[in-house]
Amino acid sequence: MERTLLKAAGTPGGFFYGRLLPAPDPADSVPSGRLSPRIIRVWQWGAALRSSLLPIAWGLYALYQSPQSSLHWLLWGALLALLILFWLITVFWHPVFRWKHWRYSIDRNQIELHYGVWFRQHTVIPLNRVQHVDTRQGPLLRAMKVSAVAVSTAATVHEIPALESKRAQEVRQQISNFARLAQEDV
Amino acid sequence: MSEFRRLHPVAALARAGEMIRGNLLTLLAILIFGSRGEDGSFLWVFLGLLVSVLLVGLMSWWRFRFRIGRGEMEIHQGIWVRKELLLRRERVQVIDLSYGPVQRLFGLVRVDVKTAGSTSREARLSAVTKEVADEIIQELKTGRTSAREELWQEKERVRRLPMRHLLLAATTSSSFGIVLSLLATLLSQLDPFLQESEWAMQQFEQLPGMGRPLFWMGMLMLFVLFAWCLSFAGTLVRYGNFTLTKQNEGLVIRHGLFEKKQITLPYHRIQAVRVVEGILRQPFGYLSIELDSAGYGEEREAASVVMMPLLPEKELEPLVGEFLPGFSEIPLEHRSPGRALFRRIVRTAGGIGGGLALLQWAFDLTPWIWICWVPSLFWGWLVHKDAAVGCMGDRMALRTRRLARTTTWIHRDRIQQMSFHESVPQRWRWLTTISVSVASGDRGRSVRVRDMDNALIPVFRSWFRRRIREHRLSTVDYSSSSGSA
Repeated sequence: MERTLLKAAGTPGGFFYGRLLPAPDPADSVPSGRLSPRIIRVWQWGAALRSSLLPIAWGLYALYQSPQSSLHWLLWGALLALLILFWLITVFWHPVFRWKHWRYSIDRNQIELHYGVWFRQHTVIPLNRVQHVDTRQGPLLRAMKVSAVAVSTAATVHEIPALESKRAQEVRQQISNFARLAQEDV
Repeated sequence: MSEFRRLHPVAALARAGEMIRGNLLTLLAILIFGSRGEDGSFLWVFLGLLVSVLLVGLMSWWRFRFRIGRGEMEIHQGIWVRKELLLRRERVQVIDLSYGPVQRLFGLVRVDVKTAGSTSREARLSAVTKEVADEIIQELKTGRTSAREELWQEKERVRRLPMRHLLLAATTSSSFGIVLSLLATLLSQLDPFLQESEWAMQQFEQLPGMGRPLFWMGMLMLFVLFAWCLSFAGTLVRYGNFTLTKQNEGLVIRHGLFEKKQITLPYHRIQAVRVVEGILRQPFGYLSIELDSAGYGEEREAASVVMMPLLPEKELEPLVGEFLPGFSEIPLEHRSPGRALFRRIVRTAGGIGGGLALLQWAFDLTPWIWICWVPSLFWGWLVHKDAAVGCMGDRMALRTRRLARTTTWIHRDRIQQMSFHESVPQRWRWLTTISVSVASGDRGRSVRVRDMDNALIPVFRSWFRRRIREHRLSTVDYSSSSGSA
């Protein structure tokens, strides 16, 4: 019961919550900011292009092969089916879930990023470590009217892959303003 | 902020020049191979290339706009991918002015604004007039003054590396592995030459015992011995006359037998302390200390500094207390839980087993080489046993092992980011990988401890968050009282 309640509050899972450890700080909940849903289309197009190359090349190769036994064709068919399945997953399912799992939050103390479908990652970046912020926009992103925001510290670069262009500008300004308050070397 | 401006048009030329210089080899290859053809068509190709390079230079000049004001500089650039960069005064480490041949011809200057981050290379204004350069310097000049008040003249403390320790350090140097692999690649490069020259082959066949396994074993031993001698001598030359001096605001490290090196490291630039216990040194109770420092630009060498090449374990505590104020040994209270052991051993033993199987298959070796596989189990257990994290007050310690056991101490204020990473099999077992980054050189270094209990996530997150809150309060205090950070 306790566990389900904690789950509902959006805390990361784990056996020890509410057992050996005190209930987590409410500030530990998953951040609320989401990416622009339009990024799903961008990722889908990207994945479609990328994961089509291999099957197409392979299909062409198969066409030029001389005909062989039926077992041979069965094997090819099975492999092709697998590839198509993989293609469907990477194109239709994965981008949606990737978007679903992508959360960010920015406040006057820190930036938090939670993301990853297979590999989950939580990252905390204190604002007074931020070196600079830039927005990036490739052709696909531009077509969808979204921008990526990249936050650089002295050691790492973190990217929020897609925010509506206006929101991206806001976020950039926000981080810049918050970070200006904290003065300190490296 | 002022209006957006463009660089001096000469920047287009400078950019084209940069591109030509960057692809000089390709261009030369085109020239050489192209000129073999009888007709002059390649000349047209070459001219076309030149023109397109100029065009790209022109376009990048057109797209490059910048503005300065309110202690910030904003740069918009990129032909196909647009990039916007915002630099703030507080983060600027250094502003470099340089004069290339093209710039000198037109009385211009190149301005590089360097921050400690990796993107610092992008903030380059390749050609502006001197007035604009002055304006930028005025706007972005850091308020930080290097001359600090010297409250008291502390007596200098000096620590030398005893001869005995130097010899020990050279004997167990970890550069041995590097030298070995370097020599191996060199030899493999030489091989075709040896194969071709008849003389060398004849000399080779004259050798007695050629073709016996024992002979090859002996050759291998000789080779390893040679590599070891090289690394021994290298370490002696490098760390001879090693002295560590403590001055008011930092450490001065001098070393080198022939080429003397001096590194001045102010305390406020030290980002992390690493205690490295080499696999050969640990059993005898010896270790070495390295420091990470935030450098910038070309100062890559300063990224990782050896503070002590060799030190007996029991002298660690007094040395750190004396030379590194604010650091001390931190208890490593959180170890990798037992349920991670299986995973760890599968990873190490599996990796080595795969490699061995491949070797056996490729070179048709005896099954006896599987004896080598047994230590990998032990190694996996060691790696598991040594993974640990702990925090005390505002400092954190992370211990990991690859071959050497490395303990990293980091002050909370120096952590650039902290993240937790979980793969699917890790999530099944409630495990997580904790990773912490500090600035080091112009890139940064991440320390990751694998397979810790994921119940530690909230513990470390709140520990880290507390720092952020406390820190904000303290910075407010700072600016109101003294005005200098």
